[in-house]
Amino acid sequence: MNPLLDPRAAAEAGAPHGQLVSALTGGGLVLTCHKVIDDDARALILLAPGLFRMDVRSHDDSLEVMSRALHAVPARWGTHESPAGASPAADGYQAGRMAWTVVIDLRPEPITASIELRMTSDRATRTAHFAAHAVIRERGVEAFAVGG
Amino acid sequence: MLRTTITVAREDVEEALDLLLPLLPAGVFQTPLGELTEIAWHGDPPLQDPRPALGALLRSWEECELPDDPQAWRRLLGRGWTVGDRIHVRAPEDESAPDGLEEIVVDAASGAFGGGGHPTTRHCLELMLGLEEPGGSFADLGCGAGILAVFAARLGYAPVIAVDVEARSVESTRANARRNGVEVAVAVVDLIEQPPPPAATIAANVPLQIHQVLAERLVASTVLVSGISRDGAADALEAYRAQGYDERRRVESHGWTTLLVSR
Repeated sequence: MNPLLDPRAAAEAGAPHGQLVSALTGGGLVLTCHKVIDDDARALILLAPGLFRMDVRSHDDSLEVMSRALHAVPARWGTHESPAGASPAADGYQAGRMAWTVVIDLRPEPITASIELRMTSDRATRTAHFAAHAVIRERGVEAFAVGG
Repeated sequence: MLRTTITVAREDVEEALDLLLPLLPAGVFQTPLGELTEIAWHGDPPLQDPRPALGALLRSWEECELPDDPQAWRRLLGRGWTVGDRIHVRAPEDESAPDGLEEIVVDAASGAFGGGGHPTTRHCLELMLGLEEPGGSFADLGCGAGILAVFAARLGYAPVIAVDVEARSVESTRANARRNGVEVAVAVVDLIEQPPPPAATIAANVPLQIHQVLAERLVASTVLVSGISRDGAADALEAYRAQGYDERRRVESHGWTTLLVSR
């Protein structure tokens, strides 16, 4: 197994952020993190040491996502869904949802991550609730299916 | 509550954030200051002192005490921002505009979208300043707090109408027009179900799906197509091209694209 999939490193690095880390049977990681973030603040929402960091920022009710490679090899990011849920709810909260598959061309096997992110913003308090989930495995992209 | 503010060179921001963000669960606020970028955080200090790691990246480091109430510290830190070295946009609690700049005061306290800080709003303002011979009728579709409508009225457009699907946004626009001493008509309109108001110039800061409906209903000669992600720009442009519009200008930042189209 690629040492980058050691759950201890992800657990230690993500602990200050409340990031939960589980090891998958057969190799791989599951990362989960949620935060309430002030509007316009950029904050880390997922951290996979040696692989990637994902940051988020909300502007009013829209979502900005920034990914940062923590490796030196090529990576391909594919979007599963564009921001959705743009229609306002009656209570003024708005939801956004995005999903990606990332293929990092490591050797001997590429590492693939399936990531989902949800946001609900609250204009009155100028905060946004974020929840992120990543499944990371040393397998081909075809092994993943992002739920609808 | 402690606020820490540092500055780094603009080109060093991402490297600095690599060091800072893992240490700051609540995140940081970034403000461009010319060749420098200010990075600030509030509340608990970092999990470890980042100064040794930041080393030569660090240009300055300041600390000050803030009130614990978020509304109070936002009032203290409000600065406003300037469009095209000509117009200064600010919240009511921010400091007044620097000398020589015309001022627009927008209050989004009711929760209406668009106090002016969103990239798409800034794109529209920048493009509006570049329009030749402002004047004639103007409609702000998806007006939020009404900053584009107020701005249009200041530039000399008349009549100006602002519409939004949210009643509170329309009320916010009405209040902001009054606050800035300009005439803006307002209405609650669902742009999916109802026709847009006729106007020669339109600013539509709305999602792509609404643009795709709007494009064939507009009678305007000039449209600011905003509220779309970079990935959605091609689809939006296709919808407007199908109605005889051509792209004249484009502004992109923070993953958002705003198009100026005309016919």
